Amino acid sequence: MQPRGSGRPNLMLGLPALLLAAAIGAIATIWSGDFVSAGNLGNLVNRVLPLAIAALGEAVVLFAGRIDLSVGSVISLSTAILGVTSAQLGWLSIPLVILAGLACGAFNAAGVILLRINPLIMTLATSAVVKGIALLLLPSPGGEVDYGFYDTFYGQDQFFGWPLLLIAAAFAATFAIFGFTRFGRSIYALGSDGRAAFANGVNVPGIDLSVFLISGGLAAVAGLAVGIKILSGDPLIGDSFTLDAIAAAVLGGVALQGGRGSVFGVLAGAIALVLIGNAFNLLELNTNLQQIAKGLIFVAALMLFMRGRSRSLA
Amino acid sequence: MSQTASPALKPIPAGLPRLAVAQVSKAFGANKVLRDVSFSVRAGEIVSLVGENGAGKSTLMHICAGSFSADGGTMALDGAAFRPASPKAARRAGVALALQETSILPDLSVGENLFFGDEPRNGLGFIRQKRLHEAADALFAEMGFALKPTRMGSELSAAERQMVEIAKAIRLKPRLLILDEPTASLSSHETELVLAAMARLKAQGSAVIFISHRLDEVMEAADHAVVLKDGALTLDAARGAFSRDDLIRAMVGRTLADIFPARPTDLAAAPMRLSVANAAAAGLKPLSFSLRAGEVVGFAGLEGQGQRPLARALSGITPFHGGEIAIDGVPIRLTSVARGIAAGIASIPDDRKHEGLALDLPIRMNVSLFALSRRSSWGWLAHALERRFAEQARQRFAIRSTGIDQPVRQLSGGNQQKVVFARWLAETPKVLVLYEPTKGVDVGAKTEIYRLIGDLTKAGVAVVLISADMLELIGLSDRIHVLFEGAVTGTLARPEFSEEAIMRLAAGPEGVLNHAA
Repeated sequence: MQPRGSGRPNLMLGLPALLLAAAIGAIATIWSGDFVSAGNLGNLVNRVLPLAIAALGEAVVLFAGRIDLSVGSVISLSTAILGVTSAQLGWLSIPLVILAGLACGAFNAAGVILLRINPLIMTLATSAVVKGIALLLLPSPGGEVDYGFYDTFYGQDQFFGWPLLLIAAAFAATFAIFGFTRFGRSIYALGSDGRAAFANGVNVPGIDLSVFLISGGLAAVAGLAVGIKILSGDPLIGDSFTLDAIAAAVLGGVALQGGRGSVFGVLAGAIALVLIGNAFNLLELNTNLQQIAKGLIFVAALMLFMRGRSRSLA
Repeated sequence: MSQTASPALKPIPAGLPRLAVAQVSKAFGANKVLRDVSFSVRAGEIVSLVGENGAGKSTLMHICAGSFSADGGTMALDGAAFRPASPKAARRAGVALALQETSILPDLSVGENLFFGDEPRNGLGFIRQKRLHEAADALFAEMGFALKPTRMGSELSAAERQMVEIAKAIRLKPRLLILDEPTASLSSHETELVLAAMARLKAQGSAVIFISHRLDEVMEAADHAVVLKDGALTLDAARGAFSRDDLIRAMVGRTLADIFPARPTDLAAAPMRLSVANAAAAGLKPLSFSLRAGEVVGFAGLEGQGQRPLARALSGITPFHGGEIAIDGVPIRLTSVARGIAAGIASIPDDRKHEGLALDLPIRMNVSLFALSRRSSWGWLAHALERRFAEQARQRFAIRSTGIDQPVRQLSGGNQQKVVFARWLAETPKVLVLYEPTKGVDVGAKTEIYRLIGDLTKAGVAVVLISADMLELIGLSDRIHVLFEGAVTGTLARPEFSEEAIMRLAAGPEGVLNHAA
C-alpha cells in the first residue's frame, strides 16, 4: 500500500536506524564469521525481543508526547512475580504478571490525569515504588521459573520461533493501529499539539490512560520474556531497559516531543542497539565501552531528529 | 430557505433563533471578561462580532463552541438548552468553530487534519487514506482553495493554516459556524473565497458568526453586527441600521479624535533622526526609510509579511544584512540589543510575557532593570534609589496597582504593557520601536499609551510603529509603509489613509489587480 499523508514522513524517520542496523550487521559479518551463524541469529532474536517490546510500549507513550520512565522497574517486577509464583501457579502466573504491568500503567495514568503530575516525574516516582515492591517480593535474584516455559517459548534458540513471531505480531498490530485507526491518529495528535488535539475533540484523559496501560502491559510482556530466558526472578534486571527503550525509540526516529515516528523505526532502533552490544561481544571489546557507545548514539540520534526550531522566523 | 442540503440541519419551529445567548458572563480570576452578554443569530444569517483585542469576543465564541464554560447565563440552540461540555459535544450538536489560533496538527497531513476524528474507514475500522485525500482534494476544489491535501500541517503558512481551518469547519455543514478572525492573515483574493464560502453556507440555512477587525468586511457581509467592548455588549443592529462610525464608537466608546493625540502637520523642517538605507534581514528584502524627529512611521501588512524580522532587526536582536543605518546622521552598527540601546533605540517587543517582563517579580524590579545599572555603584543596587525611581515611573506611566511591590503577573494586560514602557523609557530614547504595542490591552490603557506616544514625539522621539491594528496605525502615524512578503509595496501619506487603501497594498500585486475593477 502506498503510504499517503503522515505515514510517509513517519516511515522515512525509521530509515536511519534501519541503515545503522544494516551497517553494523555488515561490519560484524565481515569482522567475525560467527555473526551470521544460526546460533547467533537465534540468540539475537531472543535478545531483541524484550527490548523491542519494551521500546514499542515506550514509543506509544512518546507518540502521545508523554514519557514512561517506569518501564525498567516493571520489567524487574515482572521477573520477580514470575520467579516467586510460577512454581505454585504454573501458567497462571503469566496473566498475573500482565495484570501487574497494567496496574503500574494505571498508577502512572492516575498521577498524570487526576493529579496532573508531569509524566516525567510521575513515572520516575512509579519506577521507585515498583522497584521497591519487586525488592520486597524478591530481595535478591533467585526464585524459580518453570523450565517448561523456556522449552515451549524459546525452544532451541532458532531464528524462526515464537520470539520472532511475537515481535512480528506486536509490531504489525501496532503499525496498523498507528497508520490506519482513529485511535492511533488521536495519539499522534495529542503528541503533535496537545491544545490543538483537544480542540479537535480528542479525549485527552482517555488517550493518556491508554498509552500508559499499553506501556505497562508491554513492559510486563518484556519482563516475561526476560524472566523465562533467565529462568529466575531478578529485582534489578530491568534497570537498564528504561534508557535502552527510550534510546531505541529515539534512534528509530520517534520524537521526544511527540507526534512523530513509526513503529518500524522503533524495531530497527532496538535491533541496532542489540547489534551494537552483540558486535562488541563478538569482537571481544570491553563492555564498558559499550555503555559509552550507547550513550553517544543516543545523543547523536537526538541531534539527528531534533525538530527544526527556526522554521517560523517570518 | 432550503434545509435539504445538509443532513445536520433539522427543521425547526419558525421564529426561533438558531443560537440565543442570554446574559452570559465569564471571569478569569478577578478579570471579568464577559458581562451579561445577550444576542442571537438566526438560521441563514451572518452575524459579525466586532470589538477590540481583549473585548471578550474570542472568549464568547469559545463558550459557544464548548472550549470554556460560562460562569452565568444560558444558551439555546434551536430552542433547546445548549451547554456544551467540550468542543466535541458542541460539534456533535452542530456548532463548528474555526479558530484564530489554529488547531492544525503539525504532524498530520492537510487531508488528515481536514477529516480528523471523522475519517472514512473500511469495514475493519481502518482509515482509508487514499479516499480521505481524494475527498479533501474535492472539497478544496469546490471551495476554490489551491491546497494540496498531502502536504504536512507543519509546512503551511499562516494563511494556508487558516484556509484549512475554515475548510474543516465548513466541511461539517454545521448548524452554526463560528469563524474567529478568519481573514486576518488572508490576502484579498483568499478573503473573497472565505466570504463566498460563508455566503454558500448561509444559503444552505446555516447560521454564521464571524469575528473580524476589518470593518469593510463587516459592512459587506454582515446581516447583523454585534459589538463588544470590555466584555459588555455595546451595539446590536441589523444591516442598514449601523454605519462604520457607529461600529467604531461602540468598539472604543468614544470617537477617534478623543483616542489619538493630534499630529503636528509640519515636521518637514525637523532634523533627520533615523535613516535606514537598503538594509535587509532574514525574511525582509532590502528596505529604505527615514524618520524625522517627532515623526511616527507605521508599518502595516497582513500577518507574517516581514513585520517581526523588521522589529527584531531594529531592536538589534537579529542583524540587518548590509545597508546603512544612521541615527542623527551618524552611522551605527546594530549588531546587538546593547548597541541599539547605546545608540538611543528603545524597543517594545510584542510578546511582553516572554520577552518583556519577569512576571513573578514586583513592578519595582521590572521597571528598574536597565535604568539602575547606570546608577548603581560597582554592581550593587541602591534600594532606596530603586524604590524612588519605581515610584516615579508608576506615577508617570499611570500603572494601576496596589504599589510598586505588586508582582507584575497580577496586573491587567494594559498595565503590564505600561511597565514595559516604563522600563524602556527610563531614559528618553532617540528612536522608539513599537511592535504591536497595544496587543491585549484594554481601551483605557490604550488611550494612555497613545497619549504617551504623542508626548514622546513632542519631545523629539522618532517612533517606528509596527502594528496589525489599522485604527492604531491610521490614528497615530504620519506615514504608513505597507509590507508584503518582506518588501514595502507602497507608502501612504496621512491624507490618503484608509483601511481600504492599506488592504489594497497589503494584498500584494495580485490583490491590486483584484481590486482594480
